[in-house]
Amino acid sequence: MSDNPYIVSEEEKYFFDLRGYLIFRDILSQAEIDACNAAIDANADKIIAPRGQGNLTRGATALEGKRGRHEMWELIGLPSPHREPFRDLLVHPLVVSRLNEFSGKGFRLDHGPALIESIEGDEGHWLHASGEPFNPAVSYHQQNGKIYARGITVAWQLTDVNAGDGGFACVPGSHKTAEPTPDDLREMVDDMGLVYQPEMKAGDVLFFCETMTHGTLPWKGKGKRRSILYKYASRAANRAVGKHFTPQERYGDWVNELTPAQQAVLYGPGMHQGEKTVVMPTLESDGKEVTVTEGPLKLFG
Amino acid sequence: MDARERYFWDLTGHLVVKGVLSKEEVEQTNEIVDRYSDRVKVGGSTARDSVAFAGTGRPMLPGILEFPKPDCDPFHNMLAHPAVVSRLNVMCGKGFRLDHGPMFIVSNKGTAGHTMHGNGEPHRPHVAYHHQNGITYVGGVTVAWQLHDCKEGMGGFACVPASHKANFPMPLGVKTGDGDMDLIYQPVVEAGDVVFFMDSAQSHGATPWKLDTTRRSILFKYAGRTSSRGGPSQTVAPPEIYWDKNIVEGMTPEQLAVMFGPYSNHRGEIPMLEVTKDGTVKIEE
Repeated sequence: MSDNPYIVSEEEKYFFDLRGYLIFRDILSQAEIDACNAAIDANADKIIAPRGQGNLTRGATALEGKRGRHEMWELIGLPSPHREPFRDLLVHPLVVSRLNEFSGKGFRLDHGPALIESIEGDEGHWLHASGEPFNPAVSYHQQNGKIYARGITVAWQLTDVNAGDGGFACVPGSHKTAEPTPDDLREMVDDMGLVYQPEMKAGDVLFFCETMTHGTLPWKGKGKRRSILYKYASRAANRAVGKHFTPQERYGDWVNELTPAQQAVLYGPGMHQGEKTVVMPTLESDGKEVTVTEGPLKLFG
Repeated sequence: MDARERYFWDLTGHLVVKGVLSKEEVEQTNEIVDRYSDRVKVGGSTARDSVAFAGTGRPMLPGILEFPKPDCDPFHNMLAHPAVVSRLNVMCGKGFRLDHGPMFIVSNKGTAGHTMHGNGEPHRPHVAYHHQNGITYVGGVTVAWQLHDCKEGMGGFACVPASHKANFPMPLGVKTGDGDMDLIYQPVVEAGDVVFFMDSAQSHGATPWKLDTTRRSILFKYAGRTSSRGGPSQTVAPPEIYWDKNIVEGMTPEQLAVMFGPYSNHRGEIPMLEVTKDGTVKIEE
């Protein structure tokens, strides 16, 4: 970090470009950590496992656990005063200064923030994303000294993560790979010595490229894991679909005159609703006929 | 989209597909357009400070998708035409979408050109071109249906071939056409042809219209599944529309600044944030 903590240093750019993530230490005060934890405790009934068990491990035995991942969403929409600590983090000066540099001015919250809470024995999350296949939604690019990361997640740590505890893990440098990721690595059968689980303390904050291969190792820590993830995007990038997604919601009822194929190209942008893959029509054509297929969107590997 | 088309597209950043509309389809569509000529609106000149592109304001015919039936049908048929779907699935990937438009340009003799805009540098991630392991991807493609011929040197769509891969800024003379280094190219097209071009990745614009017949070009602005430029995305972008009430109610202006929905074609209405030396986050002036 430079002398002015709100100016991105050349060393930070080097590290982020090389590795695909950055960790800043001791950013939150104990009072800020306590405020976040107290707000979560006061709304503990909203912590649920929305995907059940086994959904995120995708059959990877090494990532299995006793329980599915527990989450709490809409933290910035909680009744006041519980939402305020999370709204403060939304535009924390460290976040604004780094995202202005890495994603460009006008960056936006795409979805989240969400709490991930784990207790000892909770399952992990399949290692996902990579530079190959190219995923334009979260692509990473560097050109003439400027970084363009379309998707960055900022993960605030509210509890300690020690070596071997599990939790967030990644493959440093994988945001630039042009070769497919071995399945064994994604499933942690053989990580080839490439998977890294950073140690973090409560009050630290992790920035990572969504392009970088990342996931979660089963939680082995004695205490709870609590990490708040804000999913940011550059100004014109979309991952989550917004409230106005269907052709009717975006254009009005005149689109009912259109064929299903014509309506298919009038859907709004985005790839998923909440954390679920969006279901929508897509088109195929041999150049003579157009066919419509309705189903979960499968785009980028 | 065969290998020859892919090669041409990757190399130049545009593609002309000949004879997509039959002569009868062109005539039928032009007859409809003739009947709506009183709806043409003339905008300002798009030549800015260019001498080479100077001329009168650009005439446009709005609202063609919403014409009453059956007059809207030819334009609806263009939206997801097989010639479009088969190529955009390759160019933008499945799930491509209409971002904004269509814009129907109906230039007359003397209508100004349009300064060249877009380029590989600076990189614009939402419309950028990328090729990796045999797969091409571009965030924005404009599909321009031609209803009248456009002859060599007579104006209309023009571009700087290969500029979607440029790593240096476009010189001012190329932008204005006043010193174009012989790089600006105006493809010859005939009524019924369709022009595909990388929108904002490739440098493109228009040269002044010189024919007695009008220019009739309908521009559908498509995007990849995860890019937003304008259109309805702009309409629904304000935080109080884009998010549920409980999420944004009571937020500070700085917090609201990161809650606008996605789109790129803003003209300063999206507040930008900056951080002062003492760590205060504020709206950039």
